[in-house]
Amino acid sequence: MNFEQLFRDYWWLIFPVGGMLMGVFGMMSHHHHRSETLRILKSYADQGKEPPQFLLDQLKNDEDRAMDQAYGYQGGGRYRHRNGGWGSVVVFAALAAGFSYMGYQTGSDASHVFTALGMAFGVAAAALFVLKLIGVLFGPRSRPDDGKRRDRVDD
Amino acid sequence: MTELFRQFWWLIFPAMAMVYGLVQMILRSSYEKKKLDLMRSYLDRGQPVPDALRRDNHF
Repeated sequence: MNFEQLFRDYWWLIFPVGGMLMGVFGMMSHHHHRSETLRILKSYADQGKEPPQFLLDQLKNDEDRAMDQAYGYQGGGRYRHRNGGWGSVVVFAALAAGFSYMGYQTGSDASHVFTALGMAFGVAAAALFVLKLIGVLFGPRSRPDDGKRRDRVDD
Repeated sequence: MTELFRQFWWLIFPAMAMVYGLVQMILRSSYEKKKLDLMRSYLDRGQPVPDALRRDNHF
């Protein structure tokens, strides 16, 4: 029982742990961006000047993103939203198929891991598919003037 | 040591979730404080607070 064996058994943990670290880092840099925006707005306010519209828009856009996340549209909100978001379903389904195939083919100890990954991605793909289907059937229709509506500040 | 890791490696996930929640809570409170500070500086000058600040923004 040494560290090489341990690494061999748990190398795949690099991916989830790396993902978590990226999530925390992204949250921190997002917060930094927003606080800097507030700081600039404050210096405008201290000088008694009207802040430029795009700074206020930046706050608004962050809120849009937060709303998108709260309502289940994953990251990068607007683009995915407009795109329909079927790409993530395809990616998850492809990963599920690939890992299931690996789990089926490899006879070694690792096959359990691959099978488990395949099942997890398969469930995720099915869930995303159902969510997207519900979104398409019952969600808000995209309108031709979407871009204009989103740029509005006061609503 | 390695045996301990083998038995409790899954604890990484709940522990990281807790860390994530804690970091989120700290950052949110810091952001809200700054926002309130900015709003106060608007009010001190007697200027109207912009609508973009007034909105509830959770992340």
